[in-house]
Amino acid sequence: MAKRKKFQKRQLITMFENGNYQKVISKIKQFEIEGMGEDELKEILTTSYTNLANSYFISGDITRALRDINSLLNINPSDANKLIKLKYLCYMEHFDDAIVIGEELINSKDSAIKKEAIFLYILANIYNHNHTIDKNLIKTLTLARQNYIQGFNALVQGDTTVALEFFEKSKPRSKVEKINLNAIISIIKNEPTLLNEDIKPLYRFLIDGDSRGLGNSKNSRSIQKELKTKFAQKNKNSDMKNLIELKSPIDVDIIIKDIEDKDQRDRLIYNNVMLFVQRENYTKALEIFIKYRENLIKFIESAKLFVVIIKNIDNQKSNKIYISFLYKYLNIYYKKLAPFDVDYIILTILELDNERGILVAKEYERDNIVFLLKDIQTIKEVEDTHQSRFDNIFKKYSSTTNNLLNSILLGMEVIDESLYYDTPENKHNFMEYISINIELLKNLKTPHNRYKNSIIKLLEVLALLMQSYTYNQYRSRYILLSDTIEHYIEYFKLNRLKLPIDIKALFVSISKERSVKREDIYDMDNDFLAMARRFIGEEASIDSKYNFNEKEYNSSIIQIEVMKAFERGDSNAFVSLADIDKSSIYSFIFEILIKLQKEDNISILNQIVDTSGIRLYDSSIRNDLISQIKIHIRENVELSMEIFEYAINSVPLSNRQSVWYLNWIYSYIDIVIRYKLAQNRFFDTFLRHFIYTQEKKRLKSLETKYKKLKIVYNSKGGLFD
Amino acid sequence: MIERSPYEILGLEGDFEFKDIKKAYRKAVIANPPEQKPKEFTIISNAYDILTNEEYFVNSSNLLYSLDVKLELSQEIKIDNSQYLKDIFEVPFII
Repeated sequence: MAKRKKFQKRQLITMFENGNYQKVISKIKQFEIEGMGEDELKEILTTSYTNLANSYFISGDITRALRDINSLLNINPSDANKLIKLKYLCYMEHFDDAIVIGEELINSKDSAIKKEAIFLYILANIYNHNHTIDKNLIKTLTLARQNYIQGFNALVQGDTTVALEFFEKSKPRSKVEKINLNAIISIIKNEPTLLNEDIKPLYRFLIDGDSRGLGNSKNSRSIQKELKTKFAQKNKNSDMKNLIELKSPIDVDIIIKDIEDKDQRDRLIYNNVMLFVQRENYTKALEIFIKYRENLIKFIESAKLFVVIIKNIDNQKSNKIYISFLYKYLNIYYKKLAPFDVDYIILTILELDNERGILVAKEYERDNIVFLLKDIQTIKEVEDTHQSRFDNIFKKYSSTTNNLLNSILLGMEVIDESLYYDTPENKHNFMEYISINIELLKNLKTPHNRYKNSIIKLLEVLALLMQSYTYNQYRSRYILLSDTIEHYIEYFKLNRLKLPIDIKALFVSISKERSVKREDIYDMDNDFLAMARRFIGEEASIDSKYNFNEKEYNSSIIQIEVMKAFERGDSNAFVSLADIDKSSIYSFIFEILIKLQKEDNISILNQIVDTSGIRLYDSSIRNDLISQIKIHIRENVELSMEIFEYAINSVPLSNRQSVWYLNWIYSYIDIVIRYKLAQNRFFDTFLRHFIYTQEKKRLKSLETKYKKLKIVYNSKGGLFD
Repeated sequence: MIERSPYEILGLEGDFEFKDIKKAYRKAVIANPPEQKPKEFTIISNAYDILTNEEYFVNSSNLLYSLDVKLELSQEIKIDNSQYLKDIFEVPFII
């Protein structure tokens, strides 16, 4: 006999621990396991066969489970293993064999095995049409099992009433067992029940047709086949009910197969598509709609549903189908639709294919659309007829026209980038188009207020485009656009501060007589550089399309507005100073007081502080005070000192011992001395305060200043105290 | 709740034109006077607005509405599976 090859024990144990029982068994059969004794091998084989059989049983493959348990019995024919075989035989419906092994086990010395065997033995007899139950045997079982057996015996003999009585009396302790018993009761009563994970596969299958985990016995196979058709019909029925009640969409094939009436069928397909749309499953909705579009087009409602779908789908490939459907739809329903309805569909076609959209708009005489999209491009010089057509469009508000304007605007915005690469000739021709638009807008009579946003956006885009052209060459167009914008600022009462950046930049461009638009915004290399800078956090200066500081611009606007309001005598003139860039506050205060040349500077300062809420000692502007004083002291000495005194006196008492406050008053004293100004009562008060506070606090940073002022202080006789 | 098609609410079918919508609306209102049938009247008015008023059209809930389906479903099928309990071996107990 050839010597068997050897296999490492360690490897075998690893396989065993990993649950590869089939491999473990096959290795033991093929090889001699090095270093493993007979007992150890037997133990591993027993566990492997038991676990393998159990896993087959759980997965519903009882034939394999039985095969493994037979192999197990060859090694270890214990009662416990025989009981497992008895269970498997029952599940395999081999009741004759089950009865034979059961008869052996009901005499087992192990009482637990004995009880379990009695239960299975009695049931195997009942399944085998032997309805006489041995009273002595059944007595040994729990009441729950006794009642179940009695009930089952009645059920097998066709007496469901008695069966139910017993089943309802059977009250197992375990929760899982209760759930399963209730499942049996609900199957018999034909009542719906809540499906639970613990319900056994057979009961689940009988309740809702789900055959997962169902055993593969002969009976279960034939029953599965039989019930499949019944459940399919039942499910179809409930699906269809859900569709009719608009609860949920269904597989469209069910509608096609089940509904013979063509009109009803198409209506159900329409509703089904709509339900998919409602659930935002646009892909499925589109798939069905496209497939049955010839059926659905007969409904006047179909186009709107279709537009909702395609607006939520990004699939350029099917544009031709979309357009062809909408065009066909318009042909059929044109006369039945409201003008805005027709526009709505044409706008959708325009979005899909601009040229085709214009052709359709022409065909259906949608003059506004044709004018805005096509005619306006061919105007060489604005004539009265053009202006009146333009006026008419803006006179009466229409959402669809507004949507059209917005899509034109988007298109124009995109052109700005292509201008960067365009030939000078094309660029010039486009300027003509821009100019026509500006001129039409400038002379537009009383546009509807609801077009306000679109008009502002239009001006914004025109300003963006305009600044792609050199100022010197197109100065007059810059001015024309600027005048037009001014007209609308007035007309719509726009807040200059809230104007779009492109418009603000246009004003700056005009004031600087050159376009402030950065020339490199569409430069790919620059983009890369910008991205790199953004990555390292250096984005502040390169974020804008324009080379100008919007904050400074806003501040200058505020100053102009405030000045105008003050001159008008507006009591709230200074309110908008709250929005001013903080770094401009002191320069503004000086500027306005110098400009006004009034005597009551204090009352103006009071007004500024009271209405704007600005704190003159705010940490962000403290240093600006000193620098502004230094700028203005020579020219406007009195005013400068007046402002300085006012600012110092506005500081609350709680802050008057802080370093910055002491620095302020030191600067004040220093300026008075340096410029040989009159030493008034403020001078004395501030000097005394500085000396007293420093002597008390002894702040290191102020020690030198203290020594200097102490001399002044002493020269003034310790301020007479 | 998904609204029914405004065309169906106003009874518009077959060969009608846009101008007929108003007539259909009047007819529907006469049949459903607001003081007697306020709910129906609201539904009819909404339907009319969707078809004739651009603002309402644009703002009406995504323009989605269902079509009327008059279909009688066959009785719900009840499947009595109790008979199969005795054919396949299974017990409610943990064995």
